[in-house]
This record gives sequence, structure tokens and C-alpha cells, in this order.
Amino acid sequence: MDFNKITIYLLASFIIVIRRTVLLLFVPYKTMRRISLSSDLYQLIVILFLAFLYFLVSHLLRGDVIWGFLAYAMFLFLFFLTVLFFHLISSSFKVKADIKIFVYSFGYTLMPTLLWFATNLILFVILPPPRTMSILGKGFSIFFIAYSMSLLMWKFILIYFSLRFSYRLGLYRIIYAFLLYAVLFIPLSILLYHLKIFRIPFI
Amino acid sequence: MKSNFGRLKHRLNEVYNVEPNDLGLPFLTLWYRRVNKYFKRMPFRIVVPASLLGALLLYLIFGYMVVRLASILQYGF
Repeated sequence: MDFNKITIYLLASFIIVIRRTVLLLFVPYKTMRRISLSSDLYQLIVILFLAFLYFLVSHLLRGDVIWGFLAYAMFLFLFFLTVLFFHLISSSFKVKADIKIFVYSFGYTLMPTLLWFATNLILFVILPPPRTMSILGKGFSIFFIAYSMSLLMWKFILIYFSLRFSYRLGLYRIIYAFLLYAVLFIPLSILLYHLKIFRIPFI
Repeated sequence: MKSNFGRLKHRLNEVYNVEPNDLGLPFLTLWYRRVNKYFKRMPFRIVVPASLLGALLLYLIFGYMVVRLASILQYGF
């Protein structure tokens, strides 16, 4: 495959990723179902590239680009570790499990994360912290917490549908897998915080 | 005609990809379906007001801590 073809595929995938992200906002169930029926490597590459761009810009702003590459490598490790974890858990339920489909659908669950970190970066430049106890400070804090909570809920919805369609799991099994993941993920996040790689884990 | 049939088959495969959730107890399954439908389509109708209410409640309960939390989150990029 020549370079031109790859470029065209990547551009087409970029448009599909944007379109599907918008659709995930309005019709997450239907869109995630459709995503889990296809497996396009280029779309995953586009999402991971967008994450790379975020890491590059944010660490350029902080003035430590090298650290950004390390953080990105850690994010990739964390992403594939999470995929493997859910795959192993789902396999233990003896369901028909295809890790390839799950990687693609799980890739889309990174979009709320990416959106939150990107807006956080922009807000950091426009309205640098710390927030004060003035009316504007309080108002912004409430708005920002609400915004963060809604994106977190959107992410949970997407992960739920991703697990549901990729592994055909029921509600109880998904909750069980979530709880097990939290048991591993919370100490790992604390470790990454102490190692100064992530203040808030990018996953 | 053939392509229409193919499309219908594909659509049916898509729709019946997963079997419906059964939570064991009929009333739980019923409530699950009632709640789940709000998350299937336009979840932000529920998510945004719930988050705003949640953030406001957090502020009323914890006060200054919420402002500090916002600052910590803002440093978290």
C-alpha cells in the first residue's frame, strides 16, 4: 500500500471518527452497536494520534516535551492494559470474546477523556487556576464540576455499551468487571500520581 | 430486491446482536428498561441536569472544598 492510499484512509477515518463521536453524543446505543460490528484499525490510529497531539501540546505548554512522550507511552500502556483486563474478565465468563472488536469500540470511549483534557487545557490558558471564593469563582467551579461530571457519566455510558456489544455481557457482569477494574485502577492511579506521570490518569 | 434483503438481514443482525438484559427479578428488569432507554438516546437530557444538580449539591454540602476541587482538576491537565 502506497503512502497516498494510507493518507486517504487516515483522512477518511478522521472524518468517520468525528462523525461517530458526534453520534455517540446523541445516540450512543445505536452508534456503539454499529462500531462494535466493524473493525477499522485506521480509526483507532486516528484516536490515538489525537491523544498524542494532546500530550504534545499540553507538555509543550508545561515546557517538558520529553516528559510528554513518557506520559503518552504510559497512556498507551494503560489503555492496552485496560483492554486486556476487560478481555480476560469477559473471557472468564465464557462468552464469545473478540479482543479486536473491543479495542476498536473501547478506543471511542477515549473521546470524552480527550474532550475533557482538551477543554481543561484551553481553560487553563484562558482562566488559570486557582479559583477564588468570589461569586464568579464559585460559579465557574460549580459549572466546571458539572461539566466534568457529565463527561464522566458519558464515558461510563460508552464503556458500558462497549462492553455490552463487544462481549455481550449483562448488567451484573459489567458492574462486577467495573468494580474489579476499580480495585486495580485506583492504586495504580495513586502510584502514577506519585511518580508525577499523571495528575489525573488519562484513560 | 436482493440488496434490499441483504440490507434487512444486516439490520436484523445488528439489532439482535445482543440478547436483552435479564436481571433475574421481573420488576428489576422492568426498571432497568425504563431507565436504560434514557441513556440509549440523547443521554444528555438526563446527564446535564443531573450533573448540574450534583455539582450544586456538592457545593451546598462541602462549600469551599468544591472550589478547591475545581482548582485541583484544572491543574490536572
